[in-house]
Amino acid sequence: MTADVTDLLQSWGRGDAAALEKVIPLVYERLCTLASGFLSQERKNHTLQTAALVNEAYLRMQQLEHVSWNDRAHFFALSARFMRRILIDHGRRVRSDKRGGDAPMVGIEMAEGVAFGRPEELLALDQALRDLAEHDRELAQIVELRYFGGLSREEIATVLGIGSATVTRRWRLARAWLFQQLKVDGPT
Amino acid sequence: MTSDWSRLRQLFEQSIELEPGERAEFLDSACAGDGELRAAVEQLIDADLAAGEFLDDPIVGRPPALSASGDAEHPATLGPYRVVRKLGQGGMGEVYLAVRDDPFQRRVVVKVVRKDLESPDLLRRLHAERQILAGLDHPHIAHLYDGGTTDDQRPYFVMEYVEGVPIVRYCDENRLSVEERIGLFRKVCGAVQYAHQNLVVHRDLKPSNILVTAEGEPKLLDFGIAKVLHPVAAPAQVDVTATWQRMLTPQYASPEQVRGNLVTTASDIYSLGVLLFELLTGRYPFSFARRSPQEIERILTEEEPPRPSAVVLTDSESSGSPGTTTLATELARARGTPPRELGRRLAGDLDSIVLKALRSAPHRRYPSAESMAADLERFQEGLPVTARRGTATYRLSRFLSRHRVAASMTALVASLLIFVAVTSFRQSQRLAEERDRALLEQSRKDTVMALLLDVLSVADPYSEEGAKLTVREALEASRQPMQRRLKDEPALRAELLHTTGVVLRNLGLWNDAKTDLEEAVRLRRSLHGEGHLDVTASESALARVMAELGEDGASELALNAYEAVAADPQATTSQRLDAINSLVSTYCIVGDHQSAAPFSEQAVDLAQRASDRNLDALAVALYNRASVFLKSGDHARAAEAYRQTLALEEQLRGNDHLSLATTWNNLGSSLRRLGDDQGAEPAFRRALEILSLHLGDDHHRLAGVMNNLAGVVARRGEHGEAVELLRNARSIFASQVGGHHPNVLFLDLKIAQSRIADGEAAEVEAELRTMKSIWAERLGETHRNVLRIGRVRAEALMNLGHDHAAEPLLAGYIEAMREAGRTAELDDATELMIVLFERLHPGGDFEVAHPRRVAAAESS
Repeated sequence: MTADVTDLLQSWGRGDAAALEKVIPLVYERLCTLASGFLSQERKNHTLQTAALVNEAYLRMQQLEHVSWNDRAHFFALSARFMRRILIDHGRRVRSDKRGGDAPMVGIEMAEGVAFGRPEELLALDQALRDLAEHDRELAQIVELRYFGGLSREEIATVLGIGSATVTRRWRLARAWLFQQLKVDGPT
Repeated sequence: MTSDWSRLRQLFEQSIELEPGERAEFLDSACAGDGELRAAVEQLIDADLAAGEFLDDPIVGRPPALSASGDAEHPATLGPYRVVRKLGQGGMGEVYLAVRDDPFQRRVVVKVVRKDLESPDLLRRLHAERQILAGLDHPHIAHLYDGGTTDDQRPYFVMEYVEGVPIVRYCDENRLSVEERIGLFRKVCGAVQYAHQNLVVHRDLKPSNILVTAEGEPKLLDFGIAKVLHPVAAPAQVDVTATWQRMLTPQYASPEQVRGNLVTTASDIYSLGVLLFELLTGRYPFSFARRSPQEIERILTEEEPPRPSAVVLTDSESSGSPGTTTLATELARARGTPPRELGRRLAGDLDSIVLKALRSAPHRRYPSAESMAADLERFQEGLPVTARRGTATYRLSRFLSRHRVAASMTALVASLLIFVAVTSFRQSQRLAEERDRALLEQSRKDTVMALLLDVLSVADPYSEEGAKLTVREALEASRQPMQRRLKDEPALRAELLHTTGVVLRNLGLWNDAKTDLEEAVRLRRSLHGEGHLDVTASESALARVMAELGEDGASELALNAYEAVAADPQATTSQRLDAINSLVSTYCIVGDHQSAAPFSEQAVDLAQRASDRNLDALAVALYNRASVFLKSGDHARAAEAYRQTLALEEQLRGNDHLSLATTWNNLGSSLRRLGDDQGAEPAFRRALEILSLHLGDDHHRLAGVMNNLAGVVARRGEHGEAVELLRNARSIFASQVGGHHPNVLFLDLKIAQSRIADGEAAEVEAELRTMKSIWAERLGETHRNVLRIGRVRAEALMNLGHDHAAEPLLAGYIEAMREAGRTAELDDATELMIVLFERLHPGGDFEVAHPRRVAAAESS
């Protein structure tokens, strides 16, 4: 699979638009297989493992060699979208058959250490991102790349074809906007 | 939108490049008076500052959960504690497993507050709280041993290390039965009660804070910590990320917590309610998935949680969906009970207990964790639980606050509520024993409230039928339960029937009103005998409905009732006013203004002299007096009196109150009769506006006004609109009162007149003859509307050129109107007669031929 994807990405990097069309289903399918395999091993405490699984899948992807930096950045961008989709889909499933849904084991606020440990939180973020995209597609993309793709500022700048200082400014705007949308006043 | 957004984006990006001190000035000039834009930019800048580490860690790449376990870096010691390993990373800081360096080697949990949370305030609170928290000594509360500050001045707490699993998971994994779950939950209540007695509120009760040990004993963690970390007056930036994350799962937070209001012991009770709900059903009371904070707040404030039994049963019944079936079965299995059995077990008492803890108003919940536990114990012992007391009242008030009930529904409900209050009071006065009184009051109130709920659950104002129909349906639906519930309470039943009768009358549902009021009169007569004030009140109300329905005996009934009240020394001023106002109204409705006149003056006088300035009764009296003027043909005084009434009504009830519609209409009528069409038309239109605002477009009360407006509009030459108005009016009216009401005939005649003008005289003339025989049978030959058929026929005949045939018909009509003293009709018909006379006797002298008619016309 690695070889296929790499070849396709390189073709795409050389200007073959159709290669991208082919790479998407491959990557997505692979990630989903990984996901389901992971999930079937262990039924409890889904949420933590979702993060771990995606991380693992992602790390494997990052090991791709023979791909130019430019192509890699674009690949990561694609992956970011997949991550988001997988996590959201998974979040929906977990939510729909959730029983109690108590993530942390230690008992002391561990859940809060796990970013978006709960499907509700993830789904809320996803929705907020869609709303943001209605205003400004690029801002939503930046968040997707950074949060779901783990791309660095420079990588994002490459993918989007803008300066990295601009990425920083826009990231702050996007983050502020999302924070405003999702924030609730805390308990007094 | 897009241009606004790019402007917003530009300003934000420019602002964050500036020093905070320079931003205000920059925005002043950049926004140039656009306050909305400026506020939006400022809010974003605030959010940027407050966002902290929000989203900074990608969900992939560096998940904290992976790096936080095991071999992560950690300090070797914290105070006298040797750190064994890091347990986790919480919103408030790191959590370590540690051992005290002493011979006991006690294992503890150390929570170190995050560097950026630290502040002098926090330290002060920590010291203040630590004494109290350390004083909590309860077998089910994890002990707070110690506290201190690290070498780099970060505060930490040292707590008992608990090996256990979160309570919900424990119950499911061990398949605890409902009984066992309740047993465990009661222990949790005991711990919470103990803390509350020591003035410590947990504020963050949730399964992850309630572990169950291998011995099956619950242990509550983190008591009071939330308060230290999030005091009432905390600066906004304190731990926003943690707060935000916590609040994104507000499943266990009480409504007041979500709103940011004062948190009390009642907030913990709410969280306990959520926990019990989850333990019993496997679900949360509300689903907050993908809800915005605002929506969550709204849900918590406005929506009522489902009954746990309903949740379980719904799950087990929706077998169409495989997912939920599995869940339901799993749920029941986890509780060692088949699904249906589980639903039955929860229904009733347990439902009430859970829902009482989950009430949105803090003071309506259990006053203490102990009382909640005690109710659960009563449930387990098969004793009646307190949660079910007053449930109906509570649910009713929730219902009302939830639905912005249509005006008519509000009227109904308000009347019934007032009735309940009055009745309970009145009945209780007759009881000597204080204790019995309270008990009886409670049970009676519950009976009536339960009844109301039966009624209201049918009468959903949002159903398609609309408010009017559903009120009727609701009351029909209520008859059965009313008979059943109030079988042994004839006085109460009579009171209820009287109230609903009056409400129905106000809604124009006269037939239904009559049924209820007749029954009320019958019951009250048998209870109290003739002439009793309760009896006369119902009689007065009934009389008005009978008058509306055009039935015989209305005036007599109203007069008898009034005389009984007038003769009763115990009658209050307002009872007297009600009786006399009803009497005058009844006379006015049946058209007997001569009898009404003296009473109407008396009523105004009485209302004006009433010591309590009964303005509502005064408004009714003024209105009635104006109506008497109108019916007597004194249109100038009527118009003036209506204006006076309007002024008072607007002052009392605002400009759009439903009661103003009639007054506007009647003002219009007076003006029209004065020949002031220009003044009349807007008055009629205003009346229509108010009526359709409250009652929709096909309420019977619109019919009369449409008819009046049609008259003015026709005189303006707008025939099309006039016919349309009349046809609407007729169909509304006939469906309302039935096809036999005299006013239906009146409207038929108006339509006939319009059609004559439209060239359908021949058909109309034939129809009128049939109409005459039918209506004469229904109303009698001498009813004024039956007489009027002759007049309209004359008009048709004249239109067809049959002037000779028309003359005797018109002459007979004029004679009848003169005898009845109906000057308006006489006037109008005489004018037509003059036209006819001139056509029959060109050059003849009408005055010579018909001296009496001229005299009569002039005197009017």
